[in-house]
Amino acid sequence: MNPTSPMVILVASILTNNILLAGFLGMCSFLACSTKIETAVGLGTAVTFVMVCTTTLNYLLYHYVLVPLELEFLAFILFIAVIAGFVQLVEMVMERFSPKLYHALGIFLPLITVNCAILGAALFMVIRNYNGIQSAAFGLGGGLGFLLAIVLMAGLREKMGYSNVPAPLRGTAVLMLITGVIAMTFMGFAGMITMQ
Amino acid sequence: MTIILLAMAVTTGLFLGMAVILLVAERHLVNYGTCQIIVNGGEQRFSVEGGGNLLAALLENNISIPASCGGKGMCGYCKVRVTAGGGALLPTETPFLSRRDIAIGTRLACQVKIRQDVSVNVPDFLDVISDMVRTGTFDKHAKWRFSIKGEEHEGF
Ligand code: FES
Repeated sequence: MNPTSPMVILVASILTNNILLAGFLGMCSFLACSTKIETAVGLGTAVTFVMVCTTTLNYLLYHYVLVPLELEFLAFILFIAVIAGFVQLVEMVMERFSPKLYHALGIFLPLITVNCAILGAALFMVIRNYNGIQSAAFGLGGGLGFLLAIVLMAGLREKMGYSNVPAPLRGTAVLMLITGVIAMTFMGFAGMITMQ
Repeated sequence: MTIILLAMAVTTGLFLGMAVILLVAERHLVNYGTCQIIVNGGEQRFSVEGGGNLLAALLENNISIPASCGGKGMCGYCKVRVTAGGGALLPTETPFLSRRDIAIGTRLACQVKIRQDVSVNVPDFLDVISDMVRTGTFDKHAKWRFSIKGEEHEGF
């Protein structure tokens, strides 16, 4: 069992081990949905919610079904299946009980099914040998980290609308550069907390 | 050998379980019953199963709406005016609609989900074409040929 306390995991996965900026997972939706702060907040919140739930569900699946049956190699497929199924379910529940929330987050849910950060969180949870509470904390931290990164990016992009970007760098190129710079900034947190 | 069987059993079991949960959820959560679609203020009306999108419902009942992307919300051709029951405008639609469009209730038919009775004004097919000609949103080099029987249509 991993001895790190859940609180440390939570903070570390937001700052030092940010899943987006240190792991570079989930880049596609990060680049696609960061044009406006509002959209970014929506996607970030949806990712956080789904990540907490699926990491916990996958934890249960892995440790109570796959490990006892020695079927660890199935983890990849089953994790993806659980994530997809869960997202579908959430979409339906949301649509039924909170149309407002559905309008705010609903359109992002299909994007989340294929978000590699979510699968990444589930796999990290396995590799790092977290227990249930640690997994939930890691999922929450990972999601919040994603939210933080994408909102930062959206803020910068909104500002960038007014600036004169050199022609060869316009579009994706400058986004990649900015992502790199933000990632380097986050490296400044490294050493503050160490997490395995 | 046993491990393969076991793996198959677990995978099938999990998928089956999720499929059942989703089916039950669909039955109980997103069941809207039958809804009325009222076209052009009562000119035509028909009932469809709720839950689908407006574009599919219109096509099913032989009202053709141009939809070159097949209902993915990418082409922006499937504009109709929804006068009642369309729900809120979705962020996927805004890029294709001008402010005037939004003010008169224009929606992308493929993005409107039928949850209740919907009243919709469908543009006349010729209107759509003349609109495309005017704004130049079709391939100008292709040869277009059509004959119009009956009354004269102006505006081309
Ligand atoms: S069919 Fe293309 S946007 Fe609706």
